[in-house]
Amino acid sequence: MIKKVVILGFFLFLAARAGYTQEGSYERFTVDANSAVSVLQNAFTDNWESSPSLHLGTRVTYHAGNLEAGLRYTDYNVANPDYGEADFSSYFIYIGWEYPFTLYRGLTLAPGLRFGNNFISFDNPKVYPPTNGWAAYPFDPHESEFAYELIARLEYSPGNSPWRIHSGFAYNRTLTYHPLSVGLISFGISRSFATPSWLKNFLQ
Amino acid sequence: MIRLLLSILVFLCCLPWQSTAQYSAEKRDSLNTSILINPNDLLHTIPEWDAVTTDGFTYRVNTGLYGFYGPQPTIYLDDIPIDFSFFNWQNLNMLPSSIEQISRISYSSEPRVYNQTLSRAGYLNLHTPRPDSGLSVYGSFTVGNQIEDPGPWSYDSSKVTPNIDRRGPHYFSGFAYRSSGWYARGQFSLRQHQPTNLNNHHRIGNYSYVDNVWHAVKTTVTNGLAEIGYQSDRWNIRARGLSSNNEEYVFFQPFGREVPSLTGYRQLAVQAARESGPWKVSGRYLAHRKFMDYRLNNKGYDFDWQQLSHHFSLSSRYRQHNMRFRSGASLEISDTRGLQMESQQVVATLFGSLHARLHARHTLDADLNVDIAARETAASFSLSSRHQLTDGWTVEGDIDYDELLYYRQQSSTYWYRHGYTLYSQLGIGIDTPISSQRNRAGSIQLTNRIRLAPSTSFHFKGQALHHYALNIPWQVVALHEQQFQGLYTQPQDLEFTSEEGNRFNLRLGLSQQLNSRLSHQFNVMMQYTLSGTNRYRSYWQQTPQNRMTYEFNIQPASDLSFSLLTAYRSSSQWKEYQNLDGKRYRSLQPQYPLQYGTFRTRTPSFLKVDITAKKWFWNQRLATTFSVRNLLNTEVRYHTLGLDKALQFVIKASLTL
Repeated sequence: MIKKVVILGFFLFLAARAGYTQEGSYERFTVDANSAVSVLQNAFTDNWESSPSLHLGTRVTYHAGNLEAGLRYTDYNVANPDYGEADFSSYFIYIGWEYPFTLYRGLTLAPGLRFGNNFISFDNPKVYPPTNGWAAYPFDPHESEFAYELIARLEYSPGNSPWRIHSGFAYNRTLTYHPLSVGLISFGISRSFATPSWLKNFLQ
Repeated sequence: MIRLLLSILVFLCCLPWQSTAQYSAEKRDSLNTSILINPNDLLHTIPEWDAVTTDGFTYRVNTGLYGFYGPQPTIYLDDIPIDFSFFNWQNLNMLPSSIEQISRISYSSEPRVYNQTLSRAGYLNLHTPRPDSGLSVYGSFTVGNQIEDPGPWSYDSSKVTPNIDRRGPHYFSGFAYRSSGWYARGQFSLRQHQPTNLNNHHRIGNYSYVDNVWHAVKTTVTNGLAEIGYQSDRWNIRARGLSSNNEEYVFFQPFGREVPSLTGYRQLAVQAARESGPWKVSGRYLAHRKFMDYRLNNKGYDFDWQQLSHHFSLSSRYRQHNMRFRSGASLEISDTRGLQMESQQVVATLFGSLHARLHARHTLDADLNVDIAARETAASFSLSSRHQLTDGWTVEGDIDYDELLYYRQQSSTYWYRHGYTLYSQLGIGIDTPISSQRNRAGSIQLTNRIRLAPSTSFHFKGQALHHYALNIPWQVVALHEQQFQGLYTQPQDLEFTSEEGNRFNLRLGLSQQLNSRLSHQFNVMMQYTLSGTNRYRSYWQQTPQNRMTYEFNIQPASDLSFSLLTAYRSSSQWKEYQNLDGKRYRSLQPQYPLQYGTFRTRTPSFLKVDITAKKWFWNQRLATTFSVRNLLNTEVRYHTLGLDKALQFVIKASLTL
């Protein structure tokens, strides 16, 4: 509990601090595309194999850091025959905030926090009892659950090019009854733009 | 944890920031709605009030005088009352207003005539902003979920769990047009809720297997409103039509369980006021139509109850330099039908109040109202004096005496005595005699408001309350086991007796406006039963003795804000359910494998933390809110048969054009 309070306090501190560093808000707009593979081993990843994830995200400079939003798609297939046809697709939609540090010329490290929803779509929804007997009760083929994600992204920008390459690690936890925890290593590219005025007006 | 929060609070209070915060027991000038999902959530923003829920969507309110089974507070939307209380079951989600559009609330716990209507258990007035000039359009969307859904593990027979509650989606849309003197507006809302938590789903889900199909266990509320108004220097005229349909599960206390029902409400209101010099004259006509109809269920339960009532009222106000006087009268004519019952009631109310400023620092208020029905009358009066002792210290003393007609108590036993046969349909026995007494109570209270610093206000109120007679419905349900279906509650004989006792309420409030972007407030409410009959003591054990809230708001940038709301509630005891204590209930049979829970008559104490982030876009036209409720994921339960609210997340978006 103390840990959660400290995290919350830190979060509020950063939020308060953000108010005093407003220069540059909405000036740069970045689009990220990457692919990720699962590296963490646990009961969930032992029983479901994931395809490489596809991720599309956006970032915009906002006060002390970057505000971000995006979508990640992952396909999961049953690895344990005990679970039958429990294949499903996952769509993680999030918003987040990150704080980039410059490590070296052109090289930045950005830790961040994302909150979102993990939409799950089952290929073959379960029916109880399995034999389709009296009063068959089909489960909903769609599920959605709250998820949070801690990220650390290393990004390199060669010279003044708007193109960048990045690699990162993300720890994602979906808060189902038995939480789904995955660790992802990603590789991808980014392209930044000066934020067009219409978009800046919208974001403000 | 509590020590830590108190330390932070004391530290912040010691900081010498500027600006002034005013706190008032009766009014709150602005409302932070970002953390609220639906209108029922407003009930938790009032420190003196407590609310319990069995489904997380509808609530019973205790405003301090009558407890959870007494009459509910009267709800006003922009000063016009709405009466959608059904046997003391009231669902604020039937309001056709977006929570984001409620800019201010005012409330009182005192049973007074307010805006020409007797508010028998206090009132809550929701104020929406006046429409902007020209055409304006508004829309909002809210959706939420509670964690611990089964996810892919539902395929593992050892790990399956029932799905957990979904909140929403709620949709709201509205338009308004305002010219120089007049305006028109229309509003529509759709609210949905899926009470799938095991604690209550095993009871209400059991009703849904009809014609070999499991129907969705879902509450759906659709509301609409149309209003026109004209305002000039002297005239204020408004006409409003309102409609609400609510497909829900009414928790019917005499039954000890939910009953599927379609509740509905229609309103037609015309109101006019004219001001001339020191005089103001107001008149109003209100028509309410309430009904409770059949909702699909496999038991054939049907309230089949409807009421049409007409309310006429006229009042005048006279104001001079140091004095204000109000008086008026209202007449209520209602026609009620249910099953084989047909009943007519006529109640007239006379009311008057006086506000006198005896000195620049001393004021006196007196209030009197008399309710006159066919066979009995009920009178209420209050006397209060307010004294500003220093520039920053105000003391107020109040003496109250209140009577409440049996008809006004809104008890289902009243209709039973008039021939309503619902009890026999539901298998509820009656332990006679049934009390038909008026409720009678007297109280003395002392309020202190102290400005500790330019930015800090302290509020302290003590109230001693004596119930000369308080009618309490009491249903000690039995355990009912049905093969293949599980364990449920079964009603036994309902008792409705007049009880006597003493209560003491204490409230502390501390608020600080650190600057225009930072504010916080702390409230403590303590309520104790000092003496009384056994039933009286048992009844008030449903109410927690101690409640605390701490709210912190920060707006680091003009387009971004954060809120933190912490609430503590001590445990409560529901003795009506003592026969169930320790027994195991289980999920519906088709949700294999069966899941189990345990009935507990004691709801646990809990500490709940909610955080909210709000970001505006497009020059404040678009607002998005992200909330995490019950961040610590503690067991948040208000009613012994109620759901266990775990961590939830809520997303809201609203657009104003």
